[in-house]
Amino acid sequence: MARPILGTPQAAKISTSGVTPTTTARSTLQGPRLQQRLREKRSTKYVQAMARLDAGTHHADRPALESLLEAISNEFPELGIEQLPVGIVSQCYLGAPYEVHICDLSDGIVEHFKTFQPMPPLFERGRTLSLHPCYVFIEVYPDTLRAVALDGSVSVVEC
Amino acid sequence: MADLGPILRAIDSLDSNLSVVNGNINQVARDVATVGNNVEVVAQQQAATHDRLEELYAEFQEFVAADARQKERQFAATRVIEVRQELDKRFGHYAEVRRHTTGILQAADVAIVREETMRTASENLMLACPGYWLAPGLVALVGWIADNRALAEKALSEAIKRDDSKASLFFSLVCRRAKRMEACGRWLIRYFQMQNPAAMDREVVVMLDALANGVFGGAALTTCSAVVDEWLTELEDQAGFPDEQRKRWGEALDVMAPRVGPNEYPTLRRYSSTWHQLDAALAAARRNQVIQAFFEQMFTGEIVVPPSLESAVDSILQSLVTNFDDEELPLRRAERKLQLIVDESGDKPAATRRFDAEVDSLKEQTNFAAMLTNSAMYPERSGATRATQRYAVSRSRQWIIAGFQDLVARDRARVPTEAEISSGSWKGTSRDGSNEQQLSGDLRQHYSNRIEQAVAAVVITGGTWAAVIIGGLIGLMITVSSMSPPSGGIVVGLLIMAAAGAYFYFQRNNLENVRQRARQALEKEHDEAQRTLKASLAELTDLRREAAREDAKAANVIELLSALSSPQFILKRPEQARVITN
Repeated sequence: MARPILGTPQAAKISTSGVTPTTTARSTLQGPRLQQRLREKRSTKYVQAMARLDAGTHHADRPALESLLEAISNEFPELGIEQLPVGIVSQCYLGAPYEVHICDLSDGIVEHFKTFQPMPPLFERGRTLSLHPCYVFIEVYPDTLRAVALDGSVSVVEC
Repeated sequence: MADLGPILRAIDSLDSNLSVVNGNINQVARDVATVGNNVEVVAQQQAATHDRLEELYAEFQEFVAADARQKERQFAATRVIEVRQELDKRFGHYAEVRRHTTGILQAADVAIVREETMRTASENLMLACPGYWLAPGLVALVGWIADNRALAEKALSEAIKRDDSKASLFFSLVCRRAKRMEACGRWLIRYFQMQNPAAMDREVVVMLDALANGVFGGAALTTCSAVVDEWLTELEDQAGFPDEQRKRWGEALDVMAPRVGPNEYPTLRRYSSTWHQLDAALAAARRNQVIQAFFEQMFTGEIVVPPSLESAVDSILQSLVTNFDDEELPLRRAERKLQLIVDESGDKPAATRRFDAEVDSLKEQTNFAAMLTNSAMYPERSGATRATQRYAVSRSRQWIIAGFQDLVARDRARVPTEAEISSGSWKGTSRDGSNEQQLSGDLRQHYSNRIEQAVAAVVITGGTWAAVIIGGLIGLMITVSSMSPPSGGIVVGLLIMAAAGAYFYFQRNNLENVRQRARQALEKEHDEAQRTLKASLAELTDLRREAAREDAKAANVIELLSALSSPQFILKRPEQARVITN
């Protein structure tokens, strides 16, 4: 069984609404402009927030999750909810048997997965990449993976 | 007393017959055992034959593929000669006009050819090459040298009519050669005004060549650099353009992946169903070194600057008049595709991938950034010099880095986490070959189970039981029916029952032999599987280490490219005291 660390489905409802406080205002970015925006270097603050997802905060409570969702919201303030990443995959440092963890933004849940334990298909695509030491985390989109390095640079993999 | 003589004789006779029957039964039992052995041998031979058939099938498939590749290669090699002949036949006469260009300029430099001779030659070329822009261009050049303004202007207007872009660039270079800087600048401005950075003619490479080789000095250099910046800014403002550029560079770099040698990692190649992914991952990782070497080589060593401005311009003019005639392009494309099939030894899909990556360099028009890519990656196609390559790469470095990063990320995402290994009838997976102990134990357990099952499966068969029971019953019936009145049938019945018993006894004794043989065969298979597993895991460890080592070189490529900047790659000519760059 996957190990839900942060949040509950109930919490998700509260939290995900926090991701897009202005969802009623549709993003003006579409097509290539949107792709260009999503390719831009990520801010240090955002990268650090994502890195904290694992580093010892697995026991944290809902405020930790909310600050994480807020970091995502602040990083892409002009994007609509459907343009944000579906979630984040990154390497897990909890130690064996845990290997990777995901932050599913639609449910607002952080889950840790063991070696050989399958993740949801959308996230599974980013597993190998998330284990590579060059990337801090992987943003998962329906049609792409965006691997973010420590300096915030983004590499795009079309799926 | 009754005469028992006949009965006794009959019993004697029966006794001897029984001995014969007993002997025959023994023989039958031995034969059955032999048949049992033979069946076992046949089963082993069948397994061996199956393996060899599999090998033969794989070899046959490989042979068919190799044969098809060989045929494709032969066809392409023949066809490429035909295409070249056609090029020569249809456009060969242009070569004479092209040679005359620098010939006339150099003859005018040293003033040893009569103007009349030059005029006659240029007029003859005009007659020989209808429709070709360079022919009136030469007439105009000769008219200019001879100070015949009317002829020069008339011929010039014809050259411009035929190809304004090339004629403007041509005369800007000719003016630069003659050190007429103002005229050079005016021709250049005319050329730039005609250009659309989103759809440029291929000869823009000539302008880049002149820029990168320091031919345009002073105001012309400033103008060119400013225009290049302007074009790139305009392109970058277009939605989707940066992505397009990144993809273009990604494709150009992707085809540089080397092939993994057919003798490398032989055990994994044969026993791992994950081999194709491992093979692709290793080739992709090795590509980093190839790319690094490619750029290092491009930026290593001094570029020999032609001793005089005239010779520098002459070589650029030669390139302009030789490499950029659009009428030749369909045949040039066909020639390149066929040549790639030959280069790839008949592997058509690989040739197509390479062709697709470089096809832009053979299009009539493409955007300016694509021109930079073509100049950097396929200089032989446009006649771009090493200096132009360096300039183009340094101007494109951000796109190259982004394209390279995407490419590397794509290949890293495709690296199989687990490698499957098939050894005998056992299958297992390993990440990096470090779990040998566990897999070896698993394999041993697998074969122990198989041996146990095989041994347990060796029992008295239903046929044997049926033969024994039927024989026993028949013997019993004969014995019972011969009891009243007693006759020789009793003995016969007893003999039949004894024979059935003997048959059962031999079959039972033979079971242990069959079990032993089954055990030995599987133990042999187990030993072989253990050897295969060990070799596969050792190779997997080596492969993962090598792939990690090669993968890490991606950082070197990024570091190398990040250190480049375009102004430092504009050559300074000896006669230029200062080079103005922006």
